Amino acid sequence: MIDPVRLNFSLLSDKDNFSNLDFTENDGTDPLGVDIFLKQKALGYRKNNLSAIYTVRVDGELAAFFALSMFAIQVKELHDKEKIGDMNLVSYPAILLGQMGVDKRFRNQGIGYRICQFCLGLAQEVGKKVACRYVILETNEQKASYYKKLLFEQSTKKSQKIWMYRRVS
Amino acid sequence: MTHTEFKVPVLEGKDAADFQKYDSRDLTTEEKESLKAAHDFYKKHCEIP
Repeated sequence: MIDPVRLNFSLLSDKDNFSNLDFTENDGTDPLGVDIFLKQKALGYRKNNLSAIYTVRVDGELAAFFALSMFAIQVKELHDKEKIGDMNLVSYPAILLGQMGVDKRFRNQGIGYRICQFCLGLAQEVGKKVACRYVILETNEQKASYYKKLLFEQSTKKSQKIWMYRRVS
Repeated sequence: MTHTEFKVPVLEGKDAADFQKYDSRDLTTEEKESLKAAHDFYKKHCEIP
């Protein structure tokens, strides 16, 4: 596990150059669109306030990124005893960990774990001022077990994707 | 993730029931300790002005 003092978290800047970084899978595929998101869409998302894009440096070198947005998770119908009046759709405030990528050279050092800690810590801080009850993310079956170890719960698979969520309060 | 994928998850059936069970129970000691560790990590190493 990488020593946290070697990590630096900051917001993406126009000067950050990711062209030499590789966020594809070890077999070169990009099933979750992580590499293409960063290289083609991230700046647009940031400029239009759709996501805050964070970078992670290791000893000053760009190593990872992730995208965060205000979001929600909903249940279609409450259990009978939990219905309030006629309300049958409930939305729970959340932070979405939208995309996350670690460059191939920096994998298996616990950077993904630290990014999740960042999100869970930030959600608790944000929650003091703007209600935030969950951190949620969407992933595929192969990666779900990773997040389960970090105490995320999972929904059933739909269209090859799985929603995962963790309460922060 | 694309713009059209900014679609809020709506849990139904068993997913909704599992979610509500999770949402209404107390956090376990392990979950609480993990959240505290994450918060400590964030405050010590990550807070961006």
